[in-house]
Amino acid sequence: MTEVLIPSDATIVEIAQEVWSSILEDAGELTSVFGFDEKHETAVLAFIEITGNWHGSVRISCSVQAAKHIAAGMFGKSEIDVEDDELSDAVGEFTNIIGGNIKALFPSPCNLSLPGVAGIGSFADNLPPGLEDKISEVQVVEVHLEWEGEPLSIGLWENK
Amino acid sequence: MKVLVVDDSKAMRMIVTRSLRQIGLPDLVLEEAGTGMEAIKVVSDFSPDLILADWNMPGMTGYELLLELKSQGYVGKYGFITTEASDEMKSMATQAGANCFVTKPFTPEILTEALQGIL
Repeated sequence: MTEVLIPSDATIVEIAQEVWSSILEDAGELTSVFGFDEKHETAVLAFIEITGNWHGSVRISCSVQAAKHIAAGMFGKSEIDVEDDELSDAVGEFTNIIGGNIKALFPSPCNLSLPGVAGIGSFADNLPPGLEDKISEVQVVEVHLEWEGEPLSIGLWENK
Repeated sequence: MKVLVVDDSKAMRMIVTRSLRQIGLPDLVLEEAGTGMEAIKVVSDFSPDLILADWNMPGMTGYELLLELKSQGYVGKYGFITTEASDEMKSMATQAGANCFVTKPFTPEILTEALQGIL
């Protein structure tokens, strides 16, 4: 049986910071923090599934302002001009890249689903559309980051 | 040089096209497609010298697009810009005729290095 090591918090933070600075114009600093109130309002939730030698999902939540910063940085426009479909597209692609880099840490073969971006809420409150069947997944890693005080968290959930 | 960028994410198409402009390819003309099927239509009209495609797309993957275009006689260069970077996938892509493989996230410098080898 293939041995699977779960990536450390530090590895996930390193991936997030590299993706953040590589793909966003005027990215700003994404810093690791010890924790924040997960009940922040109007959070944007995104996820992507990994199957194969490891089975679970990468789930990202962030404030709307952080999501707008991601979209603005990817589209090269100001945050105020970001349209809703651009926000969803950008956060989905951000999740896709984070998920792909995490997937690469697991032994092959592993497959990546297409990303999903689910509306507003918190993973702590309920499972968004697309994740209803993931009720049995258990969180194995969670990191908290901030950009200019705006929260962004990345969780790794394993299908046990 | 005529380049077709294929990715289901408009944001990623924007990043790739911005990077291509930054690296200064001569006489650059860009086209975009959001799906493999759309890309096939664009190729017949646009005749790109280079196609840069995502691997993981809904409907038709970038790999399936490569196979289809090769079966239709496409002779230009083909590269992947993707999060999917396992050795197995790189091997499949190379055997199908892909010329380069760039892993997201990438910088213009990384893209330049990948393209220098094939252009």
